[in-house]
Amino acid sequence: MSTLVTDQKTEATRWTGKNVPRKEDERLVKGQGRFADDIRRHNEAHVYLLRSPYGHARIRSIDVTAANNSPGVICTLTGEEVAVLQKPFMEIAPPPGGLMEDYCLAVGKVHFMGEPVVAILAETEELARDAADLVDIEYDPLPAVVDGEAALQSDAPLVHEEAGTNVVWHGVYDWGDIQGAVSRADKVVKIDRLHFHRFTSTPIECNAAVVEYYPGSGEYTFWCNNTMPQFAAMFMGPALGIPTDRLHFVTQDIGGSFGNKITTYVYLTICAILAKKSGRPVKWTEYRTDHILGGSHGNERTFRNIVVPVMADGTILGISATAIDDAGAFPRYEPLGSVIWSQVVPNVYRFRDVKIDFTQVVTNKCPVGPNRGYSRLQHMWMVERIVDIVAHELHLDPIEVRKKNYIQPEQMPYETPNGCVYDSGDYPRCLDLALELIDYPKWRERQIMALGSGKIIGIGIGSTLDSGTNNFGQARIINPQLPFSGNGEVSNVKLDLYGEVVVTIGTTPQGQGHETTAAQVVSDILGIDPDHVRVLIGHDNARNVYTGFSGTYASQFAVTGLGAVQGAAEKLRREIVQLAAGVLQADESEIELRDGSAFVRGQEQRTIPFIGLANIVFANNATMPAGLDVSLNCTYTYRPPFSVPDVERKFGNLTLTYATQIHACVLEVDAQTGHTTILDYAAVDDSGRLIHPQIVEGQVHGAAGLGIGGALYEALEYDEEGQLLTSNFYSYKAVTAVDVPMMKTAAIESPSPFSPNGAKGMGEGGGAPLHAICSALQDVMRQTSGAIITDSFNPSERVYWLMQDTTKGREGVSVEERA
Amino acid sequence: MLLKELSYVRPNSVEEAIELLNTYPDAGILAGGQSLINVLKMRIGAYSTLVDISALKELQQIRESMGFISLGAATTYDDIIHSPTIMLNRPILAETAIRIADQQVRNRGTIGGNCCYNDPTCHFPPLLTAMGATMLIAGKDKRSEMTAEEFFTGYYQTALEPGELLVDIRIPKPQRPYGDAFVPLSVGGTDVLNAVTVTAHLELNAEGKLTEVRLVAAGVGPRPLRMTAIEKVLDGQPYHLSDVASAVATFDISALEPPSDVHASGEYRRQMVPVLTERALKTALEQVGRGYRE
Repeated sequence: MSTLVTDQKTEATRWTGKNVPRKEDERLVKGQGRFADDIRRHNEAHVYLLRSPYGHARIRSIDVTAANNSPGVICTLTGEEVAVLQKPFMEIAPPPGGLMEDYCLAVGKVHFMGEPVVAILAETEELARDAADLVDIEYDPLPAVVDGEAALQSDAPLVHEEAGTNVVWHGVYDWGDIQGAVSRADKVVKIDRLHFHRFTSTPIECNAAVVEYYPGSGEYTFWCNNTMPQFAAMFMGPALGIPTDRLHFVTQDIGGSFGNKITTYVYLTICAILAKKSGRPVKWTEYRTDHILGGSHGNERTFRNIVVPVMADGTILGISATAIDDAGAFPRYEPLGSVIWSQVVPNVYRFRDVKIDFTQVVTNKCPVGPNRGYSRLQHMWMVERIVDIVAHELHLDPIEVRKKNYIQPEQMPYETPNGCVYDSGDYPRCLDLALELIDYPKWRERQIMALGSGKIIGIGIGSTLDSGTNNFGQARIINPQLPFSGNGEVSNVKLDLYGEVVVTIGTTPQGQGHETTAAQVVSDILGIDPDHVRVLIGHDNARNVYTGFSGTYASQFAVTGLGAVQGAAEKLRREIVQLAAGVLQADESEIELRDGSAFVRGQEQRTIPFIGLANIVFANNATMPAGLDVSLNCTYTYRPPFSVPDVERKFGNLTLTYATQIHACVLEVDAQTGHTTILDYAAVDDSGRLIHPQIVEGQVHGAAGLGIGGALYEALEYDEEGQLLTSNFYSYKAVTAVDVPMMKTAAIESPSPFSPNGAKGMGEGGGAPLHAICSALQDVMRQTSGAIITDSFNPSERVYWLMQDTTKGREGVSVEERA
Repeated sequence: MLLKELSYVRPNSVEEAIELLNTYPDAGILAGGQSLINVLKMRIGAYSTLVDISALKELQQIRESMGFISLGAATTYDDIIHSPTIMLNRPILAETAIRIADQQVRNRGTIGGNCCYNDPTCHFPPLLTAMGATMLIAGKDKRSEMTAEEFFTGYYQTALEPGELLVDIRIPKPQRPYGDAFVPLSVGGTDVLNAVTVTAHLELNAEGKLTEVRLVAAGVGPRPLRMTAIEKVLDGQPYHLSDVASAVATFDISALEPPSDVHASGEYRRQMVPVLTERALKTALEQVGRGYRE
């Protein structure tokens, strides 16, 4: 069910804002999509990666003799060769993180279970795998460090000896006056520890690539599903010692990424080296277990010593906390997560005094990578837990506490304590709608009726933001030497030889419907039907349409991608109008475009179709009207209005748009087992102007399902030796359709004043289900043991134990009354 | 290969299957393959030969006799779900089978495979133990039978000897009002993985007293565990027993040594045994009561 609640005046558009049929769907539902694994090259060879069975071990020796002599084996690759053929990948961090050496295969030692140690190239993937059994590796196991806090201990094993520490990055964020807030507070709520667990998004398509090397030009082509190819190129070019323009990336249909496919440059580098070494096109398709072991995980974060000054009425004045973020064995995209959370410092609330001591560490676990809601959801989860715990400890209604602390719509645009500008939104209204959708008063009654029945009903709220369109200048807060700021995307819109409209974008869609929404935008500008707009699939840098930021990540397509499409289409429209005015001998102001033709307004017979215009430019240009210089081939680079943040104060606008998600969850806990069942669920979104409401709603459902899985079922658990205990779908219980409840959704539209079309990025969501489920479980504990929900992962067993324990479950939480 | 290289043979009869199992050293039996192929693919276990019995029609029969129904060992879950014989006689078998994984798995997975794999999360070992099933085994030149309770011997272990094949599972048709219950505790979403399962069977004699009570817990030790202490208390009680809880309390859970793993701690499993037992008993009692009143 979806309700679009809109009272905004919308300018008349024929296509934008409508649920036109998705252009992608026909090929996808007919099984005609083309994914990385569907690519075949003549004479291709297959890669198998032999991975570390240890969390941490020194490699004493590797013997590949038998594997090299195995039937069908073309060659093998070990860390020893890699150390010669590759320079360590660039690190984003300054020292100490910047000193950590990262190669595509383990060099000298293994840092996590699943790290690739030997690559085997053979005539078939089966022969490559069989040969892997013949590789003889001697390991000396080392003690492992698998916890972020433990990694900071002075006697902790070092993941990277060359750095001399497990710390990747440390910084103190201090805005406002937290000490002043503490002294003027009525009460101070203290929470010793909150823990946001490690999980990931398990896209249905694992990583895959076909890589070919052309010795003639020194160019490598990657048919792959990497979702931020120019970021990959930035790492791979220097590592391979070649100009990045020799790295040709081609993406096609991608079966989900959720950020997980950003850091695949490590694997693409293995394939590149093998392709050059063997002279053969190299094909690599990841197994599911390998993906879970060595793909990319979400950030795990522990918050310590949380201090929350509050007034007696529940007004929150500020937050101070220590955050320890566990990046796994190699930083890679990190430590960007150490600043990205600060896009949403106060979440949706008005408090202004904040101090966060942030440390990111490495551990002997799979490296993390951006994962839907990246770095902000961990922080907003802490803020939402604080709101619920404050309400719980002060015996206030958590819904009232939220309303009391929300930033109000009349304060928009709102500058946060660190200079981010929330563009628009109406949080109280979204909350009211969510409560209406679940019929909140009814559930409060049923909650009482259920007392003593063995089932305990809990009601919870998650209020979040999805900050979209990064200002990459925030990377300078991590490392002032980085020459990055702003953001941008490129599009080309042209009339082809016979008047066809063709759109090219630098993005890497993975289910977001870019072809459809781009066509909608172009259709409105050029006066044609979306069915007549061809949008090329995926990213291909041979098309020369990309920036360094190109890709699909961080909730930005609706702004950067469609901003670029809009700019290019408007340029093309101006050229078409100029040309048509010349041909039809009319004034440009008299030309209108509709149904694929240009008309002189009010004179139906004075017309020329697009094919006629294209003919003049591309095949008949001696007839070009005098004085015109049109190409009908228009490229536009969208650049959002950003400035470089103040690195010293860690201050500036870090993202352009802030979409709202308010989720309400009603769940029932079995008092005897701790088993949780969701009874009712509502998600209310404000994503600004909606280009295609159905696509937006689809993403709302997806993000909600992912969050529900993370809250109740999905955890990447390591034992103390660094063995991943949940490396396949038997033990890693990815959420399924059976587990996701029927969802009620609604949307309001608060257009962004900053984006070119009023839209906001919204694909990630802010992890609202994790917050809402924890909030609802807190409501359950209110009726039972009074325990505090301090972990983001709450399977039946944890809920069971929390309900049993009336003292231990409250440890670490206290309220200090101020005089 | 995805699997280690191995030989594959497909016999045309049970006799031939037994012959092959006794000819090839280290031969494994392939029925539906829903567990075995995963084990081989992950290279946790290996066989040099697979004897594929999935095409043997004689192992896929569901038959009804005077005192029992019998299911061929290669009967698929889907066949169990759609069998009128089972629905008329022991519907619990179908109600349990439909909880297993998804339709693709149910199309191929077999009851015999489920039993011979004997993972503590498997559905049929505790159910068949509670139902008092008999396992019929064919070996070289001999046929033998044993109770389900004797059949399931330990984690992933059964009494089946090398060279033998489970051919038939015989399940009694109770001649008296009866109740069956299957109560799992699934962790990780809906019917995903049963950390603990309790199954119950009971009957009423002519005086309206409970008899043939069998209560079985799985996932709390190496094999499906009969909770005989509770069974004894219940034997001879009237079916409208009001105090199920104190009967259940006679079972000493402190003696259990359940495994701890990533799915559930041993202590949690232990605590869940009385909870699930009470639920299973209540379900079975309700059912037997209905039968009695009718």
